[in-house]
Amino acid sequence: MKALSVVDLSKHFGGVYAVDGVTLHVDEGELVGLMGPNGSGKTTLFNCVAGFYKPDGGQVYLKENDITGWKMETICELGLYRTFQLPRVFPELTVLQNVLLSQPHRNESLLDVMFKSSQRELVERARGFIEFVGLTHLIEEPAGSLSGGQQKLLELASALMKNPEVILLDEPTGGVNPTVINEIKKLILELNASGKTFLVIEHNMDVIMDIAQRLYVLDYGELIADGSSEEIRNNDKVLEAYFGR
Amino acid sequence: MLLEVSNIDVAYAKFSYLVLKGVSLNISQGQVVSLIGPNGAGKSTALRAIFGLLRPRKGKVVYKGEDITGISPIEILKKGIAFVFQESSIFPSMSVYENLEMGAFIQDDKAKFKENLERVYALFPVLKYKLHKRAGILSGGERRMLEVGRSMILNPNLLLVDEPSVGLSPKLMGMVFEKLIEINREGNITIVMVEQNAKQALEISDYAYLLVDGMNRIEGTGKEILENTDIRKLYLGG
Repeated sequence: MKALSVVDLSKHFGGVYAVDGVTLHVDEGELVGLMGPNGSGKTTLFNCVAGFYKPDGGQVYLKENDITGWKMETICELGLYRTFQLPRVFPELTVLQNVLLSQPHRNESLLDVMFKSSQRELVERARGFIEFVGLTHLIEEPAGSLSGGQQKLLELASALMKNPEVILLDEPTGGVNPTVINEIKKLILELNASGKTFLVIEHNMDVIMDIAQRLYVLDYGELIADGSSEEIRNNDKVLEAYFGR
Repeated sequence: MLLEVSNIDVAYAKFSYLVLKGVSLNISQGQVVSLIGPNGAGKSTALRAIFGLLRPRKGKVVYKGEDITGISPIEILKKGIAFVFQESSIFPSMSVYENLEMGAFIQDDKAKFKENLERVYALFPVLKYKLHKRAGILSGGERRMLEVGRSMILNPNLLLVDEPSVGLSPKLMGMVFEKLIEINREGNITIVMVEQNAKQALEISDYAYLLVDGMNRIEGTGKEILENTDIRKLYLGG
């Protein structure tokens, strides 16, 4: 069963095709990598999938739903969450408050809002995710005081609060020190093992080739290769894309 | 030796991890030298450290026999080193001429400015035609020329160029590389550049350093590196 399918997707800015007829899919429970040199269209593709941009052509399906051009809030409510290259946290709010802000509102009734009956339960859930990413000791600290790597972990905890089925991660280890890279890798694998589906953009070759079950490679907005780590490593087109021609 | 970078460690913040770990580079007068390597290798960081935008925690940067480690970019500019940034750095609401003037902000000598201006026009005639147009209306290729031209306005001896080809079509990329060669050959100006398109950069380089994960991995002439069989592994891991 496909969790996410992208069919012949295109997005252009003026005359530049940032994404040019890309077709790819992620099966339920799969962890798929999206690679490509700088400017190859990876983040633009994420933006089209998650509803930040309206694609100029093609379709995006979340399971059987055609979500092409839908608003990001709606897509998020449907179970797809994306993180950003640079973590987006509220610097003055604490770690706990940041995660709480990410609570889903879809099951909230007017009474819930008035009497906050589910408040305790929500805080417990948030604490659980914060513990999962290893930030419990910083739970009352302002998010702005966290290191880049810790902010990435915080973003992951916020993502989990939404209980998404499909998670798009944009460079989860970018600008993160080697110790935290290993932590993040472990968490992603653990979440994947528990059933979460991932599509991951990552520049760190060793990380992505290690964790992804399958990989896609973009260059100048087009899909140039797909396959296992081994196949991608031995693909001459991929080397050309990274090394130049 | 014109520029000697020895064993520098560089981090972006006080308690942050090291992005460069003991990087060394030797550059002779008149050379074109490329720094290549996969994303996150530390290429741009090395260039920034040479120009004083980052202060090495350890190691030395020596230019013409003088230790310039940790001095300010303005002081470095005065010593004849110029920098072309990767990200767009033109002032879009100023005219092309005003942008060139900005490049000479540390120089009071009007006659010298005029002389250097003529040299920039000779190199990039298109800038002269559009002198009084707003820089914001220039095409991507013209902007790049303005940025390179502006860096030449102080007649530097050493030009540091961070990703000259970024965001340019293959045709414009070729033209920018041609201009860099012209600057190098005709003005005997030494060029150190960081470039994503390693293959193209190696083809015009006298010498190159391949960095991986903040460390020196391979060095040699462009031809030697192009023929090195470890390249695949260094770029794609494994």
